[in-house]
Amino acid sequence: MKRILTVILCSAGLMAYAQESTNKNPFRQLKQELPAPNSYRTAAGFPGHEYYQQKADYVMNVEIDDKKQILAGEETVTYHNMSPDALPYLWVQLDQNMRAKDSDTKKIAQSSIGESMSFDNLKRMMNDFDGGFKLDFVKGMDGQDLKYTVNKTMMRIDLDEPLKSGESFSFQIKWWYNINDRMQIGGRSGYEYFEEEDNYLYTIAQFFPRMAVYNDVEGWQNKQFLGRGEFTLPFGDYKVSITVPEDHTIASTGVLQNPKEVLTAKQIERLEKAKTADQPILITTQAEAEKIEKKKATGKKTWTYHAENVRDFGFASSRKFMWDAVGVKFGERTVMAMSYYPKEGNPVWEQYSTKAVAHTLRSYSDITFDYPYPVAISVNSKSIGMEYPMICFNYGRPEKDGTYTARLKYGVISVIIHEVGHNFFPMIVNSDERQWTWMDEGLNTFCQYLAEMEWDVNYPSRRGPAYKIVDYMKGDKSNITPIMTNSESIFQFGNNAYGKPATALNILRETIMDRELFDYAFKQYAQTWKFKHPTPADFFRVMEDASATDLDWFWRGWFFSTDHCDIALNDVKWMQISDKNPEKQKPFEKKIAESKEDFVGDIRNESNAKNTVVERDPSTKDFYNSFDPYKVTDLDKSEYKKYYDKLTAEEKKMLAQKKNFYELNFELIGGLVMPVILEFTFTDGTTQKEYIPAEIWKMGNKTAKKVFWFEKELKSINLDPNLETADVDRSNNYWPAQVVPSRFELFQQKERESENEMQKSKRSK
Amino acid sequence: MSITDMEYNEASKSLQISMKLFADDLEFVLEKEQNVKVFLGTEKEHEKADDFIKSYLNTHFFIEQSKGSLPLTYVGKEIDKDYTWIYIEVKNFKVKVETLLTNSMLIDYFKDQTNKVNYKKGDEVNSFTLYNQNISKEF
Ligand SMILES: [Zn+2]
Repeated sequence: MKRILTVILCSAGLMAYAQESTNKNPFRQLKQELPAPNSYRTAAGFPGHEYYQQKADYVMNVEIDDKKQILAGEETVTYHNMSPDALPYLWVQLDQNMRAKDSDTKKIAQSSIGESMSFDNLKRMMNDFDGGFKLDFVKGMDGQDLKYTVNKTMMRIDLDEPLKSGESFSFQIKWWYNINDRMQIGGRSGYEYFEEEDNYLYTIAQFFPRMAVYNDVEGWQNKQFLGRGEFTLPFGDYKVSITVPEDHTIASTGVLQNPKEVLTAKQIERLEKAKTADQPILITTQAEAEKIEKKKATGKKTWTYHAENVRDFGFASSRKFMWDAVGVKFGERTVMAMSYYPKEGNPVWEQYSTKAVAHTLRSYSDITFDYPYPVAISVNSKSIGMEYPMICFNYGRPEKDGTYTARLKYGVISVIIHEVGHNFFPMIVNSDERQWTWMDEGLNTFCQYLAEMEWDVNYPSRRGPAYKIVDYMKGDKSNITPIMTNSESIFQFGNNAYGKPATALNILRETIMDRELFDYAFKQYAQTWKFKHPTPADFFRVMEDASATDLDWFWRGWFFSTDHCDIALNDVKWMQISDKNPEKQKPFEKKIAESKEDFVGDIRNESNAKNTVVERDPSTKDFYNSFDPYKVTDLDKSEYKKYYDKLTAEEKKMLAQKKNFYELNFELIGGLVMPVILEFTFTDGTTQKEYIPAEIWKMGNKTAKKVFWFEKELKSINLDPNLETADVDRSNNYWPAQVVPSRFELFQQKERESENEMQKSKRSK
Repeated sequence: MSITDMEYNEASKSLQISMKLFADDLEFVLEKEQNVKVFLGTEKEHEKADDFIKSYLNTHFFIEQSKGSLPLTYVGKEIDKDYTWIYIEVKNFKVKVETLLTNSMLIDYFKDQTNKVNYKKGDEVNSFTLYNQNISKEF
């Protein structure tokens, strides 16, 4: 036992030594963490001179079987190899296979049974839904079968000849699958069933075999789809024909090509009017929709859509849809902001959805680039929020009596801003969601916060301000991962990939960089990578390159670590300049000496003074026994005069000023370096703010001192007064120290002082 | 995630607990348990909302000393935008006695739910996180 202990101690000692010899400075550059710049991606974070990206075009016919809830389709894919490499095989994504009976998603999902379990949870866990793609064929354009291999959610198509650089390859796939019931087994897409009138509302996405991305960073991005890490897809042009029951209304990615065949003359006229209207116009009214949903037509209709330069395609279909629209101008161009919703979404949806879409387009365009697509659509869909190019599915259903809570209202506006906002990140700035959730969710949540603040300055935003991330950041580190973690391995998804990066960007904008520098760099990133595939390094680099701000320490702390910020104001020393005038200096020194605390022994010995040797035998006394060090002598005075006369006029003026000097001692308790922001309050009640950049910690120091001087005398100091740094412990941020009352105590005080709003309203009845 | 701050108050010899939960999540769970709409924090709030919370607490939050559960006093709740705060007091709490805390709030409905607890005693803070497979902690 003892020997083992010795060995462990030894190796622990060695490890400590090894660690000490590596650079731990929080300001060291990110050279090892980021990939080396090359001809595809530059050190400035821009596409290099050899940057390339692949393209995939689709022509598709799909049909919904509303009786059996089956989606069937046939597609022709044309893949353009713009890379310098010859490709012996192509990878196609089969996301629906995640719902196959034997999918890895089900196998690795952790399940456990608590003391009680709801029926919904039980159904989800035990579902035996027969999902996944059923492939009828995979053929070349000559009609010959192609050799292919399905590995779970990925399909490899083997080519006879490698596809050379600059060449294109077309092939056809015929497929079908059972559409999942979203309410029973979940999912981003699927159907919702309305028992009352036996109707379905389909929100269809990830519904066809889609080309994977091939690029300079990942090769083929064929990491399996497990459900969380969403998608990255090549851009391309789509021509899609969708066949549905003739009384269905479709909402879709792209521009409708055959309005005269599928819309009524009245609808076409209303749409035209909506283009220039300043309020949304109903294309299908609630009364019209309620009439349609009560009957079931037997015929079919085909809606044809074209979409250019998109990375995906989604649509929704139902006989329950109301539909409204309004035009949003971008220069000469008019973008149609539109919403589709069943009566169950009203009254909230009619009042807010399309307005939220239009607001999002304007707000996001201001900070990135003008929204380039012709339409932006919000579809009401129970319980979810999910984005596809030009179209998204959003939750929000008021009570049956038409009432709703403020939380529901803001929830609806927020989810619409968020999902429409995803058009910018990642639909257009096409980051790799399978790898990095934060690159689209974090950037989008940040823009969402800005858009919410523009909707209403008192908007109850859930994520954005620094203080809202504190609880997460001070949490148990074993339950936190750095932002730079693969999408499938993130703990606390919402805080990690949405809240923390959004907060970090907000801190950069408000506190570290300032709005002007940040906004220019952020816009540069968005415009540079619009319709391209950026990586985290590209983002980090552009933000620095366009602003001349070394942010490596910030990326390291906020994105590569789980450290939190805790800075303490430990001690404050107050000093005034001495002008060396003995007539002032000596009484001051005396006062200080007298004000010092007495040692307990001295106090007790005082009573024994009469019995000491010097008192009993006066011959033991000499000069020093009666010398008063605080007495001002003539010599003192003449020396002071000599000293003073030698001073220059300027020095004399400095001495005449009565400045108060304060030496502040800071300690960096948390691992995250952040600026030191101070608010000084003077005895006359006035205040003054000071900002010390984070570089005060640049030597890797854990403590720092800084002297401030003022005419006035200080009453108090508050560190981080506006809650900008996400400091997790504010109890050490005050001088003089302040006792921060606990929440419990505050609540008890409030209870004692007054009755609550509900008691008041009850009493008033 | 929920956060529970527990602090021993020397003056009242009691353990003062404030628990912060996502309002939506708590409301969802209360509605599932009671099968009625609760409308927490609105004018329409169910008149028994506090009783619902108490009864849910009584089956999901325990503090045991010397092998017996200590009685919890429900002090009240506060709803603040996204969060609901629940205040609980444990009278006659003995600081020096070994204590077993169980906090399985919301875990039965949200398997990802984590419940963080900060126990403050003087200057010392003891923090731990409880979750699905681990709902109790001795301190
Ligand atoms: Zn999102």
